[in-house]
Amino acid sequence: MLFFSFFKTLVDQEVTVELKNDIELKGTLKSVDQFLNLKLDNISCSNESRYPHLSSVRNIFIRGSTVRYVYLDKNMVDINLLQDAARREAMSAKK
Amino acid sequence: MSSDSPLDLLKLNLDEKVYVKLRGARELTGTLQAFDSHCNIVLSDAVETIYELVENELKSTKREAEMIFVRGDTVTLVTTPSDQ
Amino acid sequence: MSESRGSPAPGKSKITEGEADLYLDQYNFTTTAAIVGSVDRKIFVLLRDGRMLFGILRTFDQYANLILQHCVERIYITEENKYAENECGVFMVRGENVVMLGEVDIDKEDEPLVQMEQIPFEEASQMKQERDDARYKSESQKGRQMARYGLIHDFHKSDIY
Repeated sequence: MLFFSFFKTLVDQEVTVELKNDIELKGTLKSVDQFLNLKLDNISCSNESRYPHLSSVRNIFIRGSTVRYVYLDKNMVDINLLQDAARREAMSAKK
Repeated sequence: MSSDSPLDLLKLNLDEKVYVKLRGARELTGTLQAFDSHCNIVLSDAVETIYELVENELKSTKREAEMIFVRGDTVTLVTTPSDQ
Repeated sequence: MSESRGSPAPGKSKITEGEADLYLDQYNFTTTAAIVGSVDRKIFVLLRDGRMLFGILRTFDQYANLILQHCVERIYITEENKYAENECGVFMVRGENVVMLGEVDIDKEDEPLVQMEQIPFEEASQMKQERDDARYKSESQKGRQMARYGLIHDFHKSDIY
C-alpha cells in the first residue's frame, strides 16, 4: 500500500506518465487506486500523431500495468517521510 | 543487522545510490527513496540509459529525471553501482 | 463513540463529518470512482493488441471490464494520413486488455479526422496487419541481438499497442 498512499499525496499535481509503448502523457493526477491505475486530467501527449484523437480527450484513465515510469518533481515529495514509510513497509511485509 | 529476505537488502540501500536494470534494454542509476514488495521503486536524481541497436551496433542515450517512479514489473535487477 | 469527537450533539445514526470524509476518501480512490464519471459518455479505449475502440460506456466493474454501445473500431494509417472505421455494435471489453480509456469531447472529436482520408476498413485492416507483422519481426530480431549484450528486450504479440 506504500505507493498507493504515495500517489494519493500527489493528487492535483502535474505528472508525466511514460507507458511501456514509449508514449508519454502529461497531466494533472486526479485519482489512483490500489492497482496504481492512474487518472489524469488536462492531458497532453508527446506523440499525438500516433493517437490523433487525443487532442479531443481531456481526461484519461491509465491501467497501472501499462505504466513504465511516472516522472515527478522533487518538490512534490517529502523525501524523509517517503524513506521512513518505505522502512515501515519493509518491516510490516516481513511479518 | 540480519538480512533474511531479498528485499531487506534494498532496505539497507535506502538513501544510497543504486543501479536498476530494466526490461526494454534500459537501466537507471539514482538514489533509492522507496520500494515495496513488487519492486516498485522511487529514485531521485536518476539517470536513465536506453540502449538501441543502430546498424547492429549498440548505442545508448541518456536521460535525467529528478524524481522518478518505476513500476516493479519492469525491474530485473537492483544493485549498488560499480564505480567505473 | 461519536460523542467523544466533540461535534455538537450528532444524532445517533448520523456519522460525523470526519467519518463521512473518511468514507468518501476511501471511495474516491477506487477503480470504480475513477471510471464512474464517464458512464453514458462517449469514450475511446486503447487495447493491448493495438485496437482502438470508440463507443458509449454503459457499464463497467472494478476490473475495468467495460460495456460499450454503438462501438466503432478505428484504425489510423498515420504515415499516409488515412483512417478507417468499422461499426461493431455492443462490445464487452475485458479489463486486463485495456491500456487506457478516456472521455472524448464530441464537439472536437472530428477535428483531427477532417484532414485525413477515410478508406475502406478491410484495406486499413490489412495494412495494419502488415505493419504489426513487420514490427513483430524486427522487434523479435532486436530482442535476440540485445540478449547478446545481456539486455532484455522482449516483445509479445499481445502487447502491440
